[in-house]
Amino acid sequence: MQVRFWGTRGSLPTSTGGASIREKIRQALRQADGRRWETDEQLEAFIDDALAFPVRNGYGGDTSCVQIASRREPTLLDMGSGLRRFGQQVMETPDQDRPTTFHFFMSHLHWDHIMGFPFFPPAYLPGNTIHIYGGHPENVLREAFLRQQSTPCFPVHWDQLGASIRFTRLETDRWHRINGFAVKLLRQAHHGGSFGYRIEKDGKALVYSTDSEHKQQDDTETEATVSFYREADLVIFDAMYSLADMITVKEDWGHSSNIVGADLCLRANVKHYCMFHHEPAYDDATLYEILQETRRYAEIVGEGKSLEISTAYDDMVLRL
Amino acid sequence: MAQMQRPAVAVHLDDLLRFASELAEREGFAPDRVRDVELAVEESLVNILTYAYPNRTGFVEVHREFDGRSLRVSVVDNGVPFDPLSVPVTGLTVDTARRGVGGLGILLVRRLADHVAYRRQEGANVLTLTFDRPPPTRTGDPVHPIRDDIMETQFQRIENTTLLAVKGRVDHKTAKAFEEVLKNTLDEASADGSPVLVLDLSGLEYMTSAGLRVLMIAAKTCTSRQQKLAVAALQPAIQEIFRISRFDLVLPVYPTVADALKALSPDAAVRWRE
Repeated sequence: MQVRFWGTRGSLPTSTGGASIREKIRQALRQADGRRWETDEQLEAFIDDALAFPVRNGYGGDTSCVQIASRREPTLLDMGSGLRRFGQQVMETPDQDRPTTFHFFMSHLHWDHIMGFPFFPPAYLPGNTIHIYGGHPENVLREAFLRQQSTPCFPVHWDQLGASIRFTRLETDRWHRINGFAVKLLRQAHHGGSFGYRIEKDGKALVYSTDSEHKQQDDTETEATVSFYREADLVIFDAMYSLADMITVKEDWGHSSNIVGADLCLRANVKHYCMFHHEPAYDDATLYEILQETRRYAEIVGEGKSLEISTAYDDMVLRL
Repeated sequence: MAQMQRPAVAVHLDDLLRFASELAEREGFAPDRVRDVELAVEESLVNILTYAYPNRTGFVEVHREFDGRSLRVSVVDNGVPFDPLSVPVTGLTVDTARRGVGGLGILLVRRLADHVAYRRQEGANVLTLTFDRPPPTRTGDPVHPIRDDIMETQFQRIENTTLLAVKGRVDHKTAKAFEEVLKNTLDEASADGSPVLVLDLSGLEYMTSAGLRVLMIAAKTCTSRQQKLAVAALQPAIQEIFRISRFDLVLPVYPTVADALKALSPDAAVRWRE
């Protein structure tokens, strides 16, 4: 199984900004310290080896959109602003005119998770089919998309889309087989409800669990989460806030923290814990620091358990 | 799920215990883990035999189930409503007089089982004990892991200040007990007009987000009642966890208990002896 992140930011798209780019250049030049490179390969190697991630790269600013590679039909989780770049890639493929069926699993219908759809060119092409699955009732799913593409929110209305678009509600208490994947949903705590997905194929298990507030005050809910994550190869987790923020000023805002994610993944014997849905106010350096801290936290409380931890960034590819 | 029902009298105790442990044995639990199951179920049953039916003889049921990973044993009675988990687990505190009836029994049950849950259902008390079957171990490994769900507290009142020493581990297994102890301590402190609570964490070895959450609940309670809460004497690993979770920004943290007392209650600082 291979996963590609098209958008990883929470709540609102962000841009890197001039000040942040300038800071990256400043740090790279300081690190280079007058060094010269004979070849481009040597320069590339310097960038990769000598510069820290937030200097040579960044986490990106597109909102939630994750693709699970499939030899059959394209399969994605959520339609945040990252979907625009996926759509662009589809339109650049040589056989882009061939009718294609797309499968989208929706965590929920908040703005940042659907805003990419009006900018998804395949939706405008007759012949394409787009399946939109979610845990919410079909009329609720449909209504969110319709509203987004109607006056005064957007100039191109829903009925101008060329593709055939189908909404399907998936029940939470059983496995579904969709496009070669086994899929199960878990209802999560978030305004209006959200759904986590456990997706399995070829003996590998991926959990996509964003926009979920794990308060750990209700044992039944916590145990259900641990069992949903159990032994997963990868858990993509809403680690938007620090724990202190999550349970004080941002209580009931519907998001979790980096260390709650680590605790749940450690308990569930997860292989790889990937932090996702980043706070828009955090810059690359802050997110990188949080990653180091979360790894340190898991080292302290994990007591010898091995848990790989990463922070998702736009265009990151993970192979399970 | 299989079940066995017997009158709630001691003569049936062995039958009921055997009924629970037999399944553990059959499903390949190590011999000393089977003994843990027997001991935990025994403690729970003795509790029912002693307290559930003060004026009559009722029945007690044992339900057993194995799901491939865990053994679940429920003990059920129709006696007076009683949630044994509501008894604060104060561990080996010096203040034994403060320990409620059944406190030691349920402490033992909690230490032996991997998970304990209580519910009142259709007029019955249902206490469910879960025992996870450990994965097969390599030769030479200890068969029975070291128990890691021990949390102890020790309570002291100095002038207007309550000093609560917390020792051991506060994680998802012990957080509920910790929450209970803190709540009771704060309630008593409030009733006695004691506005300062200092947590001496010098003996705290391990804490996860589940424990930090309990601290935050206590902090909120204190704010609403104009009480002051501070933590002191954190071990280096716990200090790191406070920093990573940003708890050092929302709770006053002092290097030593003496520092905390000096800052919050000079009277208590004078009276306090380590």
